[in-house]
Amino acid sequence: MSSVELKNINKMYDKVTVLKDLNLKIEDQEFFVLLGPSGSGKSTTLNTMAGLDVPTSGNILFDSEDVTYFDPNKRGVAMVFQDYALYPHMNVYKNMAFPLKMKRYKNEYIDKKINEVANILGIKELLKRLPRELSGGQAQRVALGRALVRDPKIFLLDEPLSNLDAKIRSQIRNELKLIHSDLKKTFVYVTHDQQEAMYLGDRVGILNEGVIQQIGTPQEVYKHPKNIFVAKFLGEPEINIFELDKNDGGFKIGDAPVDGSNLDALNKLTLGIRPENILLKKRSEKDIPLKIVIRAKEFTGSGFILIASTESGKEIRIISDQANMEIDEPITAYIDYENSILFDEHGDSINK
Amino acid sequence: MIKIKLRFVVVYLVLTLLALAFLIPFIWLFVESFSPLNNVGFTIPNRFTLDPFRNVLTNGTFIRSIYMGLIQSLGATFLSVMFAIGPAYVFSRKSFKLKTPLMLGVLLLTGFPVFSLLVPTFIFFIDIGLYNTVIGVILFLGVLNLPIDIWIMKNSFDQIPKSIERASIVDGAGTLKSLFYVFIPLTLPIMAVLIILNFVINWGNFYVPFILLSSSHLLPISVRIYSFFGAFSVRYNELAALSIIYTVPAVILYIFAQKYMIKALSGGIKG
Repeated sequence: MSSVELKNINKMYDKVTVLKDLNLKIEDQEFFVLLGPSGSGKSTTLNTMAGLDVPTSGNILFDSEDVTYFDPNKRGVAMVFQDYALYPHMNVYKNMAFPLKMKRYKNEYIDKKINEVANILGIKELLKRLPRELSGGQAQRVALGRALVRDPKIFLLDEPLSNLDAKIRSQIRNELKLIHSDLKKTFVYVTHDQQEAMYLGDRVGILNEGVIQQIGTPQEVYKHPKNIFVAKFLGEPEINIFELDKNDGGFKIGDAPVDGSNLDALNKLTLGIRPENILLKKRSEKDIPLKIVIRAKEFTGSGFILIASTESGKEIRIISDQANMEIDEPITAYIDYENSILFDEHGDSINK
Repeated sequence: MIKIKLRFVVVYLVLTLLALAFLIPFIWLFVESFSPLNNVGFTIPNRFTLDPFRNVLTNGTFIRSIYMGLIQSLGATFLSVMFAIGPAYVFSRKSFKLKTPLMLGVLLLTGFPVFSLLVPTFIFFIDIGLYNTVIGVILFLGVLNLPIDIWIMKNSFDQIPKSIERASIVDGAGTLKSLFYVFIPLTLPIMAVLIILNFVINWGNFYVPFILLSSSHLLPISVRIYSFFGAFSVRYNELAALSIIYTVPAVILYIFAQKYMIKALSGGIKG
């Protein structure tokens, strides 16, 4: 049983502010993903939870116990690193035994525990090997095993899949999810990969320049981003952005007006529309027509990504399952207004 | 073609001559150590004998000087390597005020002509009763190598990835345990090289024991060899025999640590 709460965390290195007034509550048994570009402070956040870094100000609570100044070994957390961080001079067995040895467990217990975990992870044949004799996937399994043998209250994972190739990455990602649902422990997972974040997270926290932008379930943050940064960071291909200026008292894309009850007070409006929400056939009266020319098609397996340009020369991306599109032919596409997202001049989203 | 061949010949001729220049003293030493006493200079003796070795190895004074040399150089080596680990770790992993000036200070000391301190130390040692003691020599020799040891060890600690250190800390090892279970085992090759280098330097050091010791029963082999020249006639064959014995420990250590030497010099720690 363990929840994690960060209260008004600030972290400065010399004079550089890395984390700004960060508040975060991670529920017990939750799989929480911290998502952000590199340099956003997500690893620093994780390190403060682990006790490897002390915040400049603010408090860290585990189950409402203040652990801000606890040593890492007093916190009952286990950590998995991007580069595996296995001890190169110890074989797999000794690597996994290390945290238990530090806690002075009996050898029989250590042996039993390692075999148990090795079975779960399918690394039983590797126990006698040295880290340099392991592939990346195997090494990360061992690192995971070293975290699992300890029965920690909280798992902290720092981009554990980033060094692996695509196939093994999705395999271990699935295993992680299964391990989480088996163990029912709190997981905090740091990544810069938005897809990974949405696959894995019960909730996702998006971090930029040391500030939490939004916290929510993957669906929430994808469908209802709080600002342009979140909208652009999530989704592949990236969301299409139209920056609109006020003309004749209203906003227009091409000739078509953009309506909305909250738009009157604004001077600038940004409209975001995900590639899958640009339609090739009109579905409702509210859809906004858009004259485009298709420039290229990318086959994705289940459909196509169309790269097109608008009359004003803007490049946009459309996800479509239609194969009979002619390249270089002008057509009309429709922005699904229901699913579009509007942002004010500060980049914050507004209601329609 | 001919031009290339000529160059080839010249290069090898020069190299061979150079090699000879270095090898001749060793060859002479070797031949001389198996010669009877009357064989002086660069001549092939009329017969070979083991007498010089027998004389040296049955002479209590010489045996004792070997023993003294071992104690003093090994003691000093132990001292400097032991005391280098702590500062090296702190310099490598912790940040604190004055770190850079302190590190530069250590670096400066590696090039410091320490022998200029030998006379003040001599007087200081007399005052505090360390003059003419084995401990005194060990202390001075140990401190002599400390700066370079700290520096080399710090550099090898620097190569240990940060995440490995962090993993050990999260796994429940404090600073000491992390040092003991992770840092030191990972830098064993460099440690071994350091031990050899220190030992060879200490074993070959002449001035420090020569100035800090006076009783003849404390003199190490490096000083004892010199004492051959004090007599009316020099027993060159025994001098040569003792000199060869003098080189043996260094050679043995090199052989034992060969594996580590190669590792250490061919690229550190792999994660």
